[in-house]
Amino acid sequence: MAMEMLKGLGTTLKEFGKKPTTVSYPEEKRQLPPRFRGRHVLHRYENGLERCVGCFLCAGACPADAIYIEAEENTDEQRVSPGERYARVFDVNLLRCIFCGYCEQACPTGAITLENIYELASTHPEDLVYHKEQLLEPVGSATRGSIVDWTPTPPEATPTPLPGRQGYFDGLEASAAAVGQGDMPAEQAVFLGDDLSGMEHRRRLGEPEEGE
Amino acid sequence: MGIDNQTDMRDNQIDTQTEPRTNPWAPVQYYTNTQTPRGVRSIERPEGFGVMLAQVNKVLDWSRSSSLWPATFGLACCAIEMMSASASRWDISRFGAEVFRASPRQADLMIVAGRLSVKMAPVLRRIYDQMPEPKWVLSMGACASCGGVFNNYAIVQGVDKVVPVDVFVPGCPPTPDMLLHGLNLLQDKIRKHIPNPPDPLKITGQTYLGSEG
Amino acid sequence: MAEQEELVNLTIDGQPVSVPKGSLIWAAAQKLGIEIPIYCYHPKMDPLGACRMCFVEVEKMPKLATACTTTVAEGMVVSTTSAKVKKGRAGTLEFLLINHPLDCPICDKGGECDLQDFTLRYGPGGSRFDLNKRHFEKPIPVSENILLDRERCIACQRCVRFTQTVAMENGLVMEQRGFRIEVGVDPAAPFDSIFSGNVVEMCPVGALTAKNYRFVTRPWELKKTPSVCGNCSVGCNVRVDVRVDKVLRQYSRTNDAIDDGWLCDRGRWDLDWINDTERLRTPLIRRDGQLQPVSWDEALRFVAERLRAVRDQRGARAIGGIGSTHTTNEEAYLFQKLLRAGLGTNNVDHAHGRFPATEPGALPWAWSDSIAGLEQASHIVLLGADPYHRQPIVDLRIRKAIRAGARVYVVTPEANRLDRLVAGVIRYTAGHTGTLARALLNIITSDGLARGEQGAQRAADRRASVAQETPERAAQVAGVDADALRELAREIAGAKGAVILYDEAATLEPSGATLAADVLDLALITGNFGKPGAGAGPLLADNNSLGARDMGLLPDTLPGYRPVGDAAAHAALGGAWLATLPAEPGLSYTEMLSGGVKALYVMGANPARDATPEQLAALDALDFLVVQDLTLTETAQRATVVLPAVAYTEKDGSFTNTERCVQLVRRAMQPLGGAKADWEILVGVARALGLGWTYLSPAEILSEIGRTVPLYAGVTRRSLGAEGVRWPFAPGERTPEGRATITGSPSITWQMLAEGVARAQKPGGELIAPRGRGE
Repeated sequence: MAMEMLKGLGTTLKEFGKKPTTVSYPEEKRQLPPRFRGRHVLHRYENGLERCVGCFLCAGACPADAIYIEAEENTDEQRVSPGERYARVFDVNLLRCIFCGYCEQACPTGAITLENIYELASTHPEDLVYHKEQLLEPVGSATRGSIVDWTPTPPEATPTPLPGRQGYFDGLEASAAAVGQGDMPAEQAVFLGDDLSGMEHRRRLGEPEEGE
Repeated sequence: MGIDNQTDMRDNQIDTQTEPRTNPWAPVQYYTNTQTPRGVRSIERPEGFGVMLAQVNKVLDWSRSSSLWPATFGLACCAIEMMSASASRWDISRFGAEVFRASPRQADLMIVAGRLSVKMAPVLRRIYDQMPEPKWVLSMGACASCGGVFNNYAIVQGVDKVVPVDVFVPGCPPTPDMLLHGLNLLQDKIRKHIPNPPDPLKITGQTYLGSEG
Repeated sequence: MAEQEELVNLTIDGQPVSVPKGSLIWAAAQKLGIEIPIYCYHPKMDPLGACRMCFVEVEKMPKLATACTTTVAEGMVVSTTSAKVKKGRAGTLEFLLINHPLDCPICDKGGECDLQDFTLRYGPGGSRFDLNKRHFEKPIPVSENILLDRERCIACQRCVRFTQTVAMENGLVMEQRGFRIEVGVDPAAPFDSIFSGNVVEMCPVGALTAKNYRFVTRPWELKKTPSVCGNCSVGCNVRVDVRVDKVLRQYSRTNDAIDDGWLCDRGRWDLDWINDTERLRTPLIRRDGQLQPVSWDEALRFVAERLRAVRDQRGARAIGGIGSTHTTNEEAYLFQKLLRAGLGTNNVDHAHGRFPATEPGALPWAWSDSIAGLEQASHIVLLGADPYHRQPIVDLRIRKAIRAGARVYVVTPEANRLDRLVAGVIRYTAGHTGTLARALLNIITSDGLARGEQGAQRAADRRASVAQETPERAAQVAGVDADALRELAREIAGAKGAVILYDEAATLEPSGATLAADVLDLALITGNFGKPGAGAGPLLADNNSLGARDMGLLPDTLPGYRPVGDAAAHAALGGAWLATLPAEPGLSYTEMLSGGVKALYVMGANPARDATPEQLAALDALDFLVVQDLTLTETAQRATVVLPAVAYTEKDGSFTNTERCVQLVRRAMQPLGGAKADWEILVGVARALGLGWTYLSPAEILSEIGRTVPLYAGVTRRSLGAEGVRWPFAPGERTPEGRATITGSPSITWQMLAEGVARAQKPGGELIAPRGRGE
């Protein structure tokens, strides 16, 4: 009996000197893993244009049907995203959302990522429908978000993100170029009218010519 | 106080949208999100009780907020995270909420953790009814809050259809941090003496869900 | 039809199949359910062989063959899956994708794109092309509604061939050659056809996109419901595409008997009235001179109370009802049932007053043939009709008949889009269509052009009545060329099969009172009746113009065109409805609008829009006016009670189109919050009146129609099937599950008509000509 008691106390003594495991949550916050999936953030390009092109692919991929988008056409006067199309309404119902990250996988331009923002509780359910203004990163900031941690490092020497160049289609930047022509040097406006040979095109784009 | 809070909420006006409408019977809400629970409630501070009683109220509110005894209502996977919140790493007892009670008679807070099936709804309601006033409800996770991915006939699309929910915590499941944030929000709400939302069944004129035993 | 078609036997992928001689390999594979990818080929158009996508390997042929241009031969052995075929298709796709941009995420076609689908199924999975793709300025408008993105075009030429060969409107042309080939607009002929939307639907890539669907949604977000278009009387089969709470477009759902797979721009895009934000969402009652929102309960109780009060004080004849040519058959039926059985009045009529009244029992106004029958006609005569604008898909079928060799005569007061394609054009002063019809009858009866025994007898009957109406008189009155009329009459009389169509609006003209009967006689006397490709009939205006009348929205006939005084019909209907029906005919549309009633129930109609000042004054003087409608129309603004109704996309039901085809309408979306379907409102009013109606769904009402209306005998929701049935019905064979079915009649025969005419004859023995309305 006494032995067991001492044995138990021994365990207590053994742990006595150790630091407590408790994270004092509101004051102290635990280190979140880089791939933590919290609230969505919509990203911008360096030039301030939105990455989102309103393609609905995230909404299509969403298993909970939590994303609602209404798209519209960019005009020269009011340019929101680089391509032809942008999302006028982009709502995420965070109550429906199951934070699975399929939306960021589906996004062709890397516009939506799940970031480590997790303090989301609210007394009003309707407040948890986040609108585009709340989800967008502020003007002036142009981050890539957790997508950097999710995607493998691309191989060296990929001067243009064209699928052919790269040798594979990573579903991310290659189509970003095609869709929005974003801030990538991918495809310059090459009109047929200027009658240049393919070699000449490449020279203009500063790419290596074949056979060099 | 807490007991008659619910009557205060009865005649809350439905929020109308701010932009002027030319057509008086135009839609109140032009755009509907995908199945968002648009329960309309606005929470206001009731009139004070005078200097003395106001101080007593504050003490009462503080003590209530600091000893929220939850009734266990772990319905699904969220309950694992709820248990995790009471374990040493997050240690919910720092907020006086570690005493999970199996009996509703001894609980103040119902944490609905998980999806609520239609068959379970009367049970949930009965547990809620058996809890003594003042009482609060925290809806934990996507399923409890609005049905989550289970947008189907079998799952109640949000427990706020059955009981008045004070705090909604998104997540699938919410991490213990998210739950603790929700708990802090609830404590804050109690300390500010914000009344409970209206009882959904009383608003719709229903009195009791399911058969009385 | 009669002789057995010669069949050819061949084998595709090891499966034997027999198809008619002259079929394409593609069609044979289709029959076996083997997919052969196509871009340039379209089943409704001639093969071209431009895209090289449909490669198949045929034994003993040295090279791959294109399935869309190679006709089948006896003993042919075809493979669609061999390595050579796979390589050929992959190569074609690699070529097509050289210049096709990878902008699928923002392309409107993405998700329903043939290029996407076939690339996934047959594509090479990569490209060896590492140069830059070509770029064009985009998008460029090719018409008011359609935009062209030349980067995406794969030069299949479907659109160009459609405009040139099917729509026969030109507009689009191919420009340049080789890799520079592109679609362009013919500078001489703007691309403004009402059929232009079809090119968007058939474009296999996103090169042609609709302006009003641009970037609105993606295909996988749409809820697609097979239904019937409600924008005109043709009743094209459509797929209603809805996102959340908006109808975004209608797509064609091929029904060869009606639309031949095409859809006009009106049906495709003219849907804003359904998505109107001004639509009513709550019942309104006029209090203190203002329409104020009230609950449904209160509104229905109020309507019942007031209707009962008017009936008690002034009698049932003081109550009238104006129904709609837009609502479903079920709703039209319930409406007249409410008025006749519930309130005891025959004051029921439908909205327009544009139609000639029908004679009890006779079927003279219905199109005796079908739209598909036009293809077999040798002659088509359009009397005062402009189907291009009013029934576009009928116009497209006439164009198909022209390609098949039909001689078309356009007899209209104004220029018609068909003019440049037809055999003869006759112009006259507007308002004299009836004079022309009688002049034609005069020529035929006096020149002895009647054919057949029945025709000769009919000619003898009519000779006296049109003796004065010589073509010379018509030339004088209507400014028409008398010789041209004579030639037309001879053409009709000598035709292998002639279809004579008139617009129902022509019957409204002062001269048109007997137009319906005259045109019918014209067809009867010349023997152009009762066979496919011959007949006569009206082109109606609204989606359910015919159904509304079939259902008895007429003051003098019960459902199925039985006279209101018919004792047998009374006994049958009264028994079914548990009510005593009034026997004397009620007031017509115009009579009700000129102060004949004290309380008016208007369902889906807007009489105030076209009303004269006196009629407006009479509307304002009404004691009680109930209006059921989608928006606050001119009539609704004058109403005592307004009840919000829903559009055809929000309810189930059935429509009867201009060629008598009864088709199902399916609910494609949630009804607008606060509004109810017309049938629900009618049931609500009836219950408030204490009538004890228990209908739970339109299917139940349709079954009752099948039991109580002889014209629709046997109709149930199931028996109509996916493509509808034409009345008059006959009991069909039972389905394998033992369900009763009905079969329709493609054309009305002399027999059916004679029976109808016999019933229509009054004691004097004289056939009563239809009487014009709104005069």
